[in-house]
Amino acid sequence: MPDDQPFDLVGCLDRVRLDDQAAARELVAHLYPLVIRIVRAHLPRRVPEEDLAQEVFMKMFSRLDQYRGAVPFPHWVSRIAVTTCIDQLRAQRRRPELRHADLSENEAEALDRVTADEGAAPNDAMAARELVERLLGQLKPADRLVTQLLDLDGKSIAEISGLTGWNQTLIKVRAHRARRKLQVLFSKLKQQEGS
Amino acid sequence: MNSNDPWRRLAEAARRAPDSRDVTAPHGFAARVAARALAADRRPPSFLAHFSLRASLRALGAAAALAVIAAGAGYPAALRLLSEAPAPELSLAGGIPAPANSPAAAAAPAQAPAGAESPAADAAPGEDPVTDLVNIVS
Repeated sequence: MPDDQPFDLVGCLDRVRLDDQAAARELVAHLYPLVIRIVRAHLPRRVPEEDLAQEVFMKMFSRLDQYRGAVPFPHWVSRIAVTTCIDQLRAQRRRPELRHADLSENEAEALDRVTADEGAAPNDAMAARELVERLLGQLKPADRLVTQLLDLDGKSIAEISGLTGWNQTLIKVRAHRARRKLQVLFSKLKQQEGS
Repeated sequence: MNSNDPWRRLAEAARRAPDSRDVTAPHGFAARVAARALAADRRPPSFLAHFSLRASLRALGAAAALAVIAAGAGYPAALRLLSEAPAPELSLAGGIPAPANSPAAAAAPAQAPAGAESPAADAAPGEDPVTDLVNIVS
């Protein structure tokens, strides 16, 4: 399919419903960037991203008959991706406790800078990103998702509601709970650094 | 989020980290997933599932037939029991008992002497439709 032509989602879905394998391939290729971004943002430990993306697509195809067009199709697929990731995160149950000794030198430096009294931004963006991943890994799956979308992806509460299907009050509660937990984590890591 | 929040500063720094990972589907991914998904749609039910479904349907049919037979066989007995059951005592609201000479008081089994036949058995044909029905059925 040429890149300069807009993707005909409705036509493609109609063909997929008629078991057109080429249309199914096109649909996967078209939605892969959307799905892989969600999967990467919420990837549970030890789960290959391709496996999880494949699971999302398999669910999408198996539930295609349930899609009524009430929300845009990419939103519908996003919800499937989000719930699949959350289910995977929940299945892992126990999150190993984050200790200061586990941090790399760059991550420890980034932590020092953001928790210092004068509060400076970390120099190393990659180290900050890795530290963020470690901290997010300590949150409950749903809280992690909300924090990721709100603070890292820059989505609004309304957009998160559209992506997840959760109501806005619930999203605010989860964001608040996540920030409180993050504050506790920062204090704990700071204490461990001193000891 | 307040400006001194370490999380806010960290998140801002993390957002600046470039994500150079490719977001296009790996070679063969779309074909593999599409083939698997459509094959799963077309796959006939497994033998076990097919067998279970047939067995369940047969069991359901047998259970329904048994229920009908049991209902048919028990119907006269149920009617008889119903006809022998004491009629509810009629009383005015507030718990005032019915007058002693009322039909409800006369039919009350508590007042019937022990060993006496039921009032329904004494009823003449045409007087009690339930008794008539029991007589016809049995």
